[in-house]
Amino acid sequence: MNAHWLGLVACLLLVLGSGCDGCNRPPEPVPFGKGRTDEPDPQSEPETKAEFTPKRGTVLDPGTRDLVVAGGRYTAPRGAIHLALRLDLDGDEDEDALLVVSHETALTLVAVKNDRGVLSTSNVGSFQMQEGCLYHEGSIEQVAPDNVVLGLQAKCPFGDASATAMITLVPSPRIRKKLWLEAPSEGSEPPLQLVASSVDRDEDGHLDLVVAVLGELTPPVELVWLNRPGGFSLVDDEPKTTLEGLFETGRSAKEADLLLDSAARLRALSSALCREASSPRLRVDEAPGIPCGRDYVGLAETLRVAALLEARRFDEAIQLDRELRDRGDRAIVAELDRAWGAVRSARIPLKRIADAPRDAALDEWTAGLGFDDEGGLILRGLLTQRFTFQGGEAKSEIILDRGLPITDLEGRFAVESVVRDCASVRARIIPLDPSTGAPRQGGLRREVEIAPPDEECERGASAPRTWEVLGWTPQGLVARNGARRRVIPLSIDAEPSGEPFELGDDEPLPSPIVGPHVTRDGSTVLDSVPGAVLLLREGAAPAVLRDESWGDSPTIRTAAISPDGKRIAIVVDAGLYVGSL
Amino acid sequence: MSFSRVSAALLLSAPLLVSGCGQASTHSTPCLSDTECQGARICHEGRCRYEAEVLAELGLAPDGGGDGSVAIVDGETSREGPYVLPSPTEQGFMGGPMHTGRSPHRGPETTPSVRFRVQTGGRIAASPVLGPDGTVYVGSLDRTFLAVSPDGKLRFRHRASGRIYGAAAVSESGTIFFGADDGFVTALNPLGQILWRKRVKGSIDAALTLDHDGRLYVAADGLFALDERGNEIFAYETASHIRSTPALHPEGLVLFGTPEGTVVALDLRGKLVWETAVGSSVVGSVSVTPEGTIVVGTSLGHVVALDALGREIFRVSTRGEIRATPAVALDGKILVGSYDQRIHGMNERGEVLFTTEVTGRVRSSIRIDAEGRGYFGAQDGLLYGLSPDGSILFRVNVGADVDSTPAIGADGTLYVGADDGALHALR
Repeated sequence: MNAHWLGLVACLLLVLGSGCDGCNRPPEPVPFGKGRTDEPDPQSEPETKAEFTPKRGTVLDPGTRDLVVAGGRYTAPRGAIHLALRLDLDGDEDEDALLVVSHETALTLVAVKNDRGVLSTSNVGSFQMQEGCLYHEGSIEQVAPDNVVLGLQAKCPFGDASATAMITLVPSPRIRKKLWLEAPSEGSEPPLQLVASSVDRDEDGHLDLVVAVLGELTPPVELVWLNRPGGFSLVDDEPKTTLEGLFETGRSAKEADLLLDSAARLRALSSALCREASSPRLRVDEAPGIPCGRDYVGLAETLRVAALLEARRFDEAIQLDRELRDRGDRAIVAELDRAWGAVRSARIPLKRIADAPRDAALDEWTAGLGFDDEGGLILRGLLTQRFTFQGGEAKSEIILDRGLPITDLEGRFAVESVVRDCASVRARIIPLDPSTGAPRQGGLRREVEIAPPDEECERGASAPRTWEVLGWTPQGLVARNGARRRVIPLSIDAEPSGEPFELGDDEPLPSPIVGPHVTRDGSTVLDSVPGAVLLLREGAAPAVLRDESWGDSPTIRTAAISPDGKRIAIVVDAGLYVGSL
Repeated sequence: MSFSRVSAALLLSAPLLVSGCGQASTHSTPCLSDTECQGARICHEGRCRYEAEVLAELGLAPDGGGDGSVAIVDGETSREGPYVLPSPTEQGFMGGPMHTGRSPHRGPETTPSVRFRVQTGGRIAASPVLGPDGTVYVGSLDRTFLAVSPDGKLRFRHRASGRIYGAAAVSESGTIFFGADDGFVTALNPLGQILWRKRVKGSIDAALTLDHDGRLYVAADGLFALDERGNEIFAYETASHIRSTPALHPEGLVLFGTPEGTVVALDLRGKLVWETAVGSSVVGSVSVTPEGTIVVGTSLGHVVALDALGREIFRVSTRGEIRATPAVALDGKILVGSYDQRIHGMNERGEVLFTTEVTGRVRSSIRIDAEGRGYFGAQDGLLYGLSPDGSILFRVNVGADVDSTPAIGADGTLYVGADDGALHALR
């Protein structure tokens, strides 16, 4: 692969050396402000490329420390000399040289000048490699009287790193543009490589820098810096165009494999190149990444959510969906909603039996929804209603129940609420009066940790929605966070009785379990997903439930399932719906 | 030696000689006085015997007759009678702490049919036990502990912190105790709620043993005794890990086998009474006959019988490793399965009465129903019924190897775990 890329460079340089169609034409005016500009630099006269023969530098034997150059002997103070380009740097017609020297993780470009028989050296610039990287190969070439292009490659623990630079020689050697693509930090990231060439892309008589980003899994991206009077300017249609193309390809894919493929390619490129990514591997003159305009890494993840939904891997999709929504990016949320909207869903006959309150009581209404052991639906608000169902009709009555939906088997304790902050996630447990189900007067509230602290939770920021209590079993509470389920052992007196532990993916829940979102035997669990309700059943494929009457983007506030699994209740926007399963 | 000394020696040893040449009894020890007899036994006619038995033979009322309780006086163990152990029960491994395998219930006479199966995610090596109301309790290697009603409904599913290899034990009040391989003993009420958890040293591979006082005996990296609240009564630590379920002896001994090839007897305070080498490691459990004979199988395939003092009475060889616990039939026959794919039946003197071939290695112990029929599983995927004479009554294909020992329900249902991870109920 490396030989192929070096060959590509050679071909590009041959093309360059063979002449330039536009070199003898007056340069067309190019509007300023296109792309981003670097610091101003004195504009030299257009190079007469047709009269110049590119000069390739020498690749030295490994371990070379001494070199006869510039009329004298240069000895690397530390490390080894890898590349040498013999040329006249100062116009005195004596041979000078540009050398690439490595020592440990530093690669240095050294100018060696013969100044009237005296050898003088100066550092032109350096490239700092990551720990564990070693110089592997490179090339240095004078492509024009005043331009040298340098390419370097290093071998690192999880792949290769590569660098490229455009060096101008007038008035003295100076690195004009430097790009460094770090190696992957772990084996899962795909390898990418930079290959640079110097071409007069805008035919203004000045050599521009064209850098191809090449990878086995990703389409080639061409980054172009135009050589302007004010400095090098990035033509900013890339990598945007390529990334948008990848995203649209993914968006239009129907099959999970194609979605995942597009997601992987988009992620590989955007995470490496874009400034919007958390840690791009590309550095341009020490600045991280290139502004891409959108969070393409996040958009790649929305394609992954779509792939998971297509594959009916709902638990993983829910987990990833929630992580992405917490970023607060509207474009990402819109894409997630779109993905959920495309999911094949089942329809069950639903009947609207009540209108939801429009004020703060909606939260209490939502939090207190649940079925009792007799199959009645309890709606807890300012007044508690109990719905019963006969012959397809729902009847309601006001009851005195002030209970809570998650209690222990004997009705002695209940989960009053879940507290989430950066310390931990805790269930607040209160003792009940078993005869009424109401909180016992004077009873001591206790908080039980159901999940450890979220490591990424920033102090002062609102904690993301994570763990919630699914239900109460004889051995304690069961908490869930997406596909993860955790058992918090409690004694019969609701005191911690052992270390909490997580259940494996296919492990059944402890049972019986009392909670509004799960059947008593633990075999069926409900979850609210964007625009629908997800029914997860042991030993069966998950089912997505939605109703046409809900509109395009309904807000599912909560859902409950009866202990025997025969009836379901859903609060959608402003209505309460009930149906039979 | 002078004639007079020889004569005295002969005279003194006469009872011994007479008793040794006369009676064929192999389960009472010779003696000259009561002080030579262990526990509550007396020296009668040159042999150590239980006082109550002697008085019964002589037609005399028992003198004082203790209630069988054990009293601790001034640090010394003092007994007013034999240590009373629960009658055969389904609430513990092998019918109770003596491990006779006897059940108070009648099992099937003919080939039973499957009534139900309850699936877990791991092999069931533990033997099911039954609660006072017939609820079936069994643990699995997937860390699940199940309570299943006699009609096959799941009462509760408890997710333990470790894998469960050994049978649980159920008290008269319905409290369920089980051990797991992370060393935790868990006590649950019949609803499945946690009463307490206690960690002992080492992993627990064996069943728990519960005596009538509510004392729990746990084998792990030693032998541990807990009260019904989980408080430690004693800890007898051993150098190696014990996989043998503790058995209880009417003499007030706690017995278990060791990987070093010994049988250890402790008193109820956890003090070593004796330790006898049996020739090779002991993985299965010790059983105790009603006469007090201690029987154990070894890794070399020997069935070894010891008396209450740890002295060998007999040794029978089989051709394969013995990992099962010997059962004691109603007529005193000792039955045990071996890795030689045979069931071996012998009398209390070690005389082999029958050898029945099966088609798989036998790891399961044999349960004896109220009519003397035997039930066991094998590593051929079959559950067997055995008539009292050792002939095969029936074979049922369970579909997976059966290492677990069956339990017998009051309605004759056999409950057994298998390598397919299911609890099988057949009647």
